[in-house]
Amino acid sequence: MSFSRDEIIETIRMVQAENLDIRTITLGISLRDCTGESVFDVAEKIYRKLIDTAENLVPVAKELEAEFGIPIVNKRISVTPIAIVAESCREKDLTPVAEAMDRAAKELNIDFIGGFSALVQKGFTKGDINLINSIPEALSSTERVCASVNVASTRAGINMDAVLAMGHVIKKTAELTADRDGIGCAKLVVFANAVEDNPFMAGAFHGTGEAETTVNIGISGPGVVNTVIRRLGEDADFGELAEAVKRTAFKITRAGELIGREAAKRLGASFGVIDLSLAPTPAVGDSIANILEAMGLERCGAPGTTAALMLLNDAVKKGGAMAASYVGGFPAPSYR
Amino acid sequence: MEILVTLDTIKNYEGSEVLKFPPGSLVTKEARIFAASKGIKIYVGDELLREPFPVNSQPAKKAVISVIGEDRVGIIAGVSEVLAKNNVNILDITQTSIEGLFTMIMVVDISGCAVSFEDLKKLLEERGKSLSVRVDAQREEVFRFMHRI
Repeated sequence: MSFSRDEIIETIRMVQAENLDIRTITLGISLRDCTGESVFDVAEKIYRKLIDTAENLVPVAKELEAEFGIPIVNKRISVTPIAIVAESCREKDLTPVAEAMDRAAKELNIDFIGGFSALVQKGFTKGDINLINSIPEALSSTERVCASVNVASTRAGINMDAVLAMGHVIKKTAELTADRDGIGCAKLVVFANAVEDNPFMAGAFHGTGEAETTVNIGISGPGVVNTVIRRLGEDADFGELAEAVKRTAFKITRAGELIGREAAKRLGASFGVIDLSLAPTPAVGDSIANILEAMGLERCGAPGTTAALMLLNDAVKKGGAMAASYVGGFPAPSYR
Repeated sequence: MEILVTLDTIKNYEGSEVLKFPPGSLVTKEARIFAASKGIKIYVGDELLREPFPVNSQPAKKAVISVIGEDRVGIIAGVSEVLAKNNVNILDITQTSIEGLFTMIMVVDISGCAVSFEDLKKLLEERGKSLSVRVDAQREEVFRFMHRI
């Protein structure tokens, strides 16, 4: 099977001129076998397991990047919510666990490690409380660890005690990292309806229903979608617009699917999901607001923004769902 | 008795050559692919499980090489010299311009390539530098996945 010149050029243009990339390969690792009675024991077990399991993540990602010619921007790890792993620890302070995660991440050359998390939408266990109390200290003393707390779900409602507690946690974390622009808070997510296989930081964690190790992919491509929409011109109606976005989302997602399958095979892990959201970056031209404006909005934020975003979102998910064997990220699209 | 054998079950036995599971055990496809890649044979009862037919994983045979930069004498000659030296056959070659820049695209057959894909890529990049153009090589699968269902 061969390709037309235009098809080849389209792909090359997407990568080289329009910032198409694989935003992240996130290796989910279950830490359910790392429990113990002492927090230091648990930290050591976690460190060992991370080093053993994720040893090849960065080398494999680099290989794939070279072979397929699509940049892979981030290499990340997500782990079982630490509140569950450290439930039976005597000590109340779980910072040593975060420090062990940070140490492993640095050694493995991982950009971020997520999963210093608790799920408290309905109530707290001892481990959940200890974890929430440890967040400010953990985030200020580590560099690459990300924390998240799920405080609400559609089924369970909102745990208002947790909401109040998180307000204090955010303030304390900001205070402790005040000399570094409050960076601690950039590594903290407070969720409603957290998904178990989200590859995007800071909210990534490895859900309890997941396999031992899974590869999840986050794709990117606002720049690509933007160009496609601008090329449509002013005359396009909603049908044509949605069609163009769907086609593009399909192509972007396929690139993610290819890399994800190959990565899972080489890492000996299961292939998890592709997160179908258009992760934007600070790079010029890589923004969702630009897309909305290309769709005809005078300015992002003007009346019609929500409708335009909904239209875009819907088309991206539809195009992407067809392209991928397993998809995720439906409840939590990230837009900036 | 094992009812279900998954990828992680097999991982626990990495290093062994033959694994035997009781009759009636179910072995997931993922587990069979992993076992095949590690050269492990799996028996369920007395029956040897067939190696899974690889889906979408035929070894790379073709690659797409793109050259972007300012047009000048000797670009095609320079790049094809590297390819010829390494026993890479050019299947198709085309020229065009992307945003005003000279662009050459080659589809090549790398099944007989003398060096690894990574090394070939490095050689091409070096040659590109001496010609002051950007040379990139990608496996053909990317295009197949993006443009064909």
